[in-house]
Amino acid sequence: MASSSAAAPAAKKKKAKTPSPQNKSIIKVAEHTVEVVSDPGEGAQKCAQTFGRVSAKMGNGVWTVEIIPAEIQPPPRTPPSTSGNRVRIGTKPVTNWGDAAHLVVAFNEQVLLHRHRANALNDDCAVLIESMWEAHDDEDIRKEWAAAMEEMSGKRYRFIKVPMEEQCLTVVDNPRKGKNMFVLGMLANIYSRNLDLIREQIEVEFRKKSQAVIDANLALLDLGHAWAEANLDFTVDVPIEPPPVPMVVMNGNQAIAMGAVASGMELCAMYPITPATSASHHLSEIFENYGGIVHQAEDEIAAVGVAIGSSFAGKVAFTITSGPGLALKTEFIGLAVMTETPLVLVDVQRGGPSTGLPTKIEQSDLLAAIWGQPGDAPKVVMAPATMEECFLCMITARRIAEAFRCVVMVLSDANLATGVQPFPRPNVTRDWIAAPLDLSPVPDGQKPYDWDPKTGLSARIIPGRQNGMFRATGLSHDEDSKIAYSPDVHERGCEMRARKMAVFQQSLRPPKVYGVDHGDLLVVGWGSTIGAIEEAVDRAREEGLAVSSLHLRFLSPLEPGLKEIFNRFTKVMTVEVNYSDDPNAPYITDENRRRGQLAWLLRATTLVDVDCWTRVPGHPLRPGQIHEAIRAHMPKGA
Amino acid sequence: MPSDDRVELALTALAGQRDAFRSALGTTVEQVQTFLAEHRQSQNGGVNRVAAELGPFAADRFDTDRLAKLFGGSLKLDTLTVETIEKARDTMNELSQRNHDLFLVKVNPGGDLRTAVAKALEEIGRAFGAVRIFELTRSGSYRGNEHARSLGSFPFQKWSKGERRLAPPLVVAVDGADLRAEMLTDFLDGSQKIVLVVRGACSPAPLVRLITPGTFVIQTHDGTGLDRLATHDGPGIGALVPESAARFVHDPKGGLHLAGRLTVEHLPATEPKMSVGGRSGSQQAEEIRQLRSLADITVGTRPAVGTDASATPVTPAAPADPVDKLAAWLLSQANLSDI
Repeated sequence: MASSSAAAPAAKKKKAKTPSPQNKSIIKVAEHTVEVVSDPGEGAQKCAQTFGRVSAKMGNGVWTVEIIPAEIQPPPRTPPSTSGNRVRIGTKPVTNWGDAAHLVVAFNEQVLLHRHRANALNDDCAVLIESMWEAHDDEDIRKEWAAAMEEMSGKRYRFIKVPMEEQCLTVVDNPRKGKNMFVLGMLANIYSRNLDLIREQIEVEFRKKSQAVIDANLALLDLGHAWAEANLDFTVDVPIEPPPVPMVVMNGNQAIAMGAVASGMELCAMYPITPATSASHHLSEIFENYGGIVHQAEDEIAAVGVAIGSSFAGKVAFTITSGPGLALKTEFIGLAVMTETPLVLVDVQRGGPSTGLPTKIEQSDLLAAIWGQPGDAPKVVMAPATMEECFLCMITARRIAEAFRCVVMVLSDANLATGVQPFPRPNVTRDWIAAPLDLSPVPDGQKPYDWDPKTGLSARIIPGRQNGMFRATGLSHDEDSKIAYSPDVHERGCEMRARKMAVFQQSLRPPKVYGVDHGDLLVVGWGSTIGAIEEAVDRAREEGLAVSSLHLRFLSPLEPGLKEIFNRFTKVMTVEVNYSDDPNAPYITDENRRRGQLAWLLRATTLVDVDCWTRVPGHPLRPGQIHEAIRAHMPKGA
Repeated sequence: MPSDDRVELALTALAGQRDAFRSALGTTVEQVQTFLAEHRQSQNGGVNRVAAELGPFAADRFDTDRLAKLFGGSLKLDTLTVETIEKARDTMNELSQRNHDLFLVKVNPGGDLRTAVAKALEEIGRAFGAVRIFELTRSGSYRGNEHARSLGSFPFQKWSKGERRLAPPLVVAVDGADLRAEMLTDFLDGSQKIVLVVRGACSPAPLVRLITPGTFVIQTHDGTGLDRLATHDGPGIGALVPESAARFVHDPKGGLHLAGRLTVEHLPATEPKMSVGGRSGSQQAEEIRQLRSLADITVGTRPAVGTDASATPVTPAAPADPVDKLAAWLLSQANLSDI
């Protein structure tokens, strides 16, 4: 993984001369991390995303993470306005965003300062920065530039001033709309990216714009490439090992959308909410080609209501939302549980509570997903860990929801939603699609909730079948769907709905431990943290620490055999992106300490004294952070 | 052009969609074969099916033996079930090996066009019925009494949305005297395409009554435009008519306004006087007048009607609707060059 040998160009000062391909230094590394940052609206995200996608298409391992300001339009040229993307590319597959960037392209010194303050840059990071601000007409700006440089002077960053605006003005009137493509051209030169692939990608990105707009962007790309060729004295070579199988490149939200199609979903009922919305945007572009529709309802409650109603009527439906939307859907989710209507609900988690951190990652919806409904409302909660799993889990979720007549919640998060990663092209099969509706008459005697007393399972009746008419109700009911007037009926209904989950849990296999299946410390995680956790565990094991990890995909019911696995380790600790109290903080005791949400769950289920290390920084955890946490949490004597 | 040549022309123009249908059918036959083979190889076919349905995410995470047992009652593949799947496979095989005759209907003189088309689609529909039986059987939902009939016939009315999108095109040879195109509206759904090869004299604008915003409608005398019909993503109907009949194209791709969708290339100079197949001259004239009035609407924005010697000139009409006038003015004021 990243090492000093993988660093950006050394900080040595070289004689000023025009570089040529012959005298450029080539930095050959197994992986490299680049960030592109600007004010919102300057296109740093599009630039870096295109760079990431093209790198993945060329065969590099890639992981991208968006850097998004908390507001839609924060004051420009301020650190909080930083918008952009980090792209980590490697010869081998890349599973997380890494620790610090080796190269950063900044459209002004304030956004660079943000990355500096966030410790996001390597000590010897190469910094390509817009030069126009240093000698700007506005004295305040010149002062801000000088102050920023002073603040960053403690680092060995190698500053390379780039006349982005001046260059872009030779092609477009408004360089604010063009710098990103100029920068993309520079990156293409530095990393020897395939320009034809980039051109294709630009044409796709701007397909809804005029040819003149596309041409201008292509000209800026070439300009940036030529400028870097003539003025930069280094290139970075991250060797490409073509993958043995065809790959696809997409972010987690696109993967969820594609997975929904592949699983035979027919309806996505949703209400826009960050960071889930882009999944429905993507779906709306393709769904009709496969017989599906996206229904944008008037609000979150209506959206889940439509999904439940459609499913009740025999359609294969799902809804997608994020934290605040999940809260609004609470009552209807209870209805789906009570009526045993199959429903897949995707929650792309963000920071909370309330509107919280709309654009930032967090894993704080776990307990709300499992226990969020008043009354006992058992359901399946699962969490994909990679972009590929975002695609594949939709197939499993759809099938489980129908087989068990239950609600299946899929917990994704903002890191998966917006990050891009290549994965093997799925071999789509008809087996993944729901069987056609059986509209034949309901056999005599079959009840709408014909619970098998042993399993709680019952056959589903689609409205419209002869002999199949019944009154569906959210009230507690018996097998005939008649309202419960006796305590026994309610007791039995609860028991049957819960029994299904026990049966489901018994059909799961125990999870596999990453690393040795016994040792001093077991790190348990879920969701998008898998790459960072496993990289941290690898580093710790290289140091001789007896650490392994376990990544859960099913959170409710929990995968079986956990207690037995935990007992083979001296200590168990969760790593999560949600809040927990520092045990050493004032007033915090072992009794009142708020713990990570998975830790709560594991402690309650296994009665093992599971510790936790959690953070809510608004960005994904870094492997280096987790590595440090592992060291700090090793049991005494280990 | 002799009738048989025109049939060949129509069949060739629609080859792509027909091939897609055959290909899908062939793929399904392969899946059925694989399913049966897997079942024969394993005493526990249900386990494989459960694993396949749950997808790769579930691999190694589920005990599929347990799950298969849970759904054991419905998953059991007894002899009767296997026989049913084999029958469905044979039906699909039979249909996939049929030549053009499956997609070609020749309406006998005096015959009923609607009945002939319905019957042909019912025959094609057996493929969809067979696929459904396979899926229902695999899912354990198959019940012979209710479902077995689908192998014998599966009328268009029962086709699902997805099946209607996969529907293969139909070429129908019919006497002009028997042409009652308006009777075919029920079948214009999904991606269903129908091309009528008209024998002998016919009403000059028999398809005009079928113009609706989402339906591709074309009247041509030499096959020009059938390629557009073939690639239209939606329902469509065309007619290869005598040279004297009207020629027009209604392409839904043209947008919300009729002006963008309808192109009339030729209108007969005179209104018919003689009846054709019981349709009076007056009834035929109504169709021409309807086409002319639709063309009038479009003339305000572009020349839509051919001006060959035999054509009746159509007087250009200025946009009369105030809303249209306002829209035209707004569009003229807006700079949309960057969109």
